[in-house]
Amino acid sequence: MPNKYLKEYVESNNNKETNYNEILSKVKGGSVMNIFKIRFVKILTTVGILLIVLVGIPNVYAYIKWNAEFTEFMEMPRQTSVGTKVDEELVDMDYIEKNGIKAKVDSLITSEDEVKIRFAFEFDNDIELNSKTFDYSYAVYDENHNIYAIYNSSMNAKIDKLPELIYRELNVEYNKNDIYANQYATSTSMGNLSASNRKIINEIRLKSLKGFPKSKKLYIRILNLGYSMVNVEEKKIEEFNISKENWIFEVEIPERFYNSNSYDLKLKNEIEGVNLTKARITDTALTIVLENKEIAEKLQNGHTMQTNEFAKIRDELIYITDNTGKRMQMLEQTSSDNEVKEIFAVTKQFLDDNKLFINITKDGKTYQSELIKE
Amino acid sequence: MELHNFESIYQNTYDNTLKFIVVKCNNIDDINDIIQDTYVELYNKLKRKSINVENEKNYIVGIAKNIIKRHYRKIQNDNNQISIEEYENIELSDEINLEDDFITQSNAKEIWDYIKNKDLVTTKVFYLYYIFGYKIEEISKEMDLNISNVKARIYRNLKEMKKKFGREMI
Repeated sequence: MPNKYLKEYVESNNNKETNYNEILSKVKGGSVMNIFKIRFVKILTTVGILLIVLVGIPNVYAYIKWNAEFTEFMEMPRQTSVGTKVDEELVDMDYIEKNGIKAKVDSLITSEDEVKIRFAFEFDNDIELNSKTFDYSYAVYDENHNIYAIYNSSMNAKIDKLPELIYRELNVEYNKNDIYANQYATSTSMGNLSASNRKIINEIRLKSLKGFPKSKKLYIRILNLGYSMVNVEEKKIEEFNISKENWIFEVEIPERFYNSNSYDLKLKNEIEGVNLTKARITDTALTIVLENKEIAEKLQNGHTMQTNEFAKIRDELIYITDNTGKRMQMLEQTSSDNEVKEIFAVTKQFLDDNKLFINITKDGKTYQSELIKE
Repeated sequence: MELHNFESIYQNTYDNTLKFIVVKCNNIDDINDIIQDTYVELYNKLKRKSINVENEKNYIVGIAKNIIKRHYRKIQNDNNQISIEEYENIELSDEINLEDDFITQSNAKEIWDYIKNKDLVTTKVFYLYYIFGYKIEEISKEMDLNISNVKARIYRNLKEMKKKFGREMI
């Protein structure tokens, strides 16, 4: 429920009406007088456009301009490095080196709904750089031209229509009213993980609500590498481009990663009051989702406890063991009102020679059931 | 383009655009600038040519996205990610006390300044909760935080503020 006083205060400085007036003043007035001016300009423009349309120049001009931009983009110097994803994280790839900048994809983590790409950059001493504002444009797509994401940095961007250019190069339909329509990522972020000794480790993180395709090869392209500095005297931000290259990284993804053949498990013996809605094991982890109000509430009430005390209780509520009784490491736990999700570090290969058991503590008693293939 | 058409689009889309900017901005104080620039750009686009906008809200959100990118040069800064972690493991029940009767007309400015000094994610959560009147579940969805994280941010900070500002009203 809104707080009356806070809402009044915030909206006294920021409301629909004051913002509208500000917008009108920015668009050359906006007073009643200006409506006539705008109409007059509009009539003139319309007449002008009609004249130009009649002689067919604008389409030709726009077509030529767009083709020139595309040609310039395609003719940009390209530096390519090919690598292979070798384990859950690492990519075996050599650095590309050009004009004092070295870059490679250091690691690639892929899952159904998240992709993390970690770059390693190294810069020669004579390259000026502000690591805090280091930025670049990127495009990520696969061998079938499924576009994961395109981010257009405006950092002194020579190429400022990256989405349109990539779509055209890949022959993918471009919807100018919704440039994200054909992109799988629904949220993206990037940032430096470390920056020292003229080396930057930078990560792009893509998340998709609808899920990413099972790609055999990812193309990760970066360009417009640059940084910005604040010019204190002139009170403005200055942008600097440090590379005019089109860097292309191709990462082969072995079948065990893109086609991991995950399968679902189920309880061998039902545990009363516990509804196991998901138990999926992959090459990387076991994800458990279950419904039980008592357990969910206990986890939600953890805020009143000390961290260690809570961890002890949490670890006893749900845990996974093998046939020797050894506990599997829990990687992540989240809960809502009635549901608990936990991820454990155990792979489906482990099940080839072992058994897995889920242990659930409720009503002061621990229940165990083997997890078997559905 | 007629001015009244623009005004009509503005009136129909303002709240949605504002919500998007609140969620995506890097500084709550930038909201006015970003929303004004967004609609100035929309105005100029509409003025230059007729655009067939089937879904006005999404189209304007697209413009806002670009304005925010231009404004910050980065989609998300590192501080955001760190501040999310701070509350990640805290779990709260539904029955948490969210009383805010210590907020009065006379201390609203001071309290809002206090909220703005918190980490960005917390400030946004309060903005959505107290200015937009969103429910915790809605905030959780908009901000991509889990429900308990949102609850923890509101609960903890309300508790702090109550301690700090509550006495003044007695």
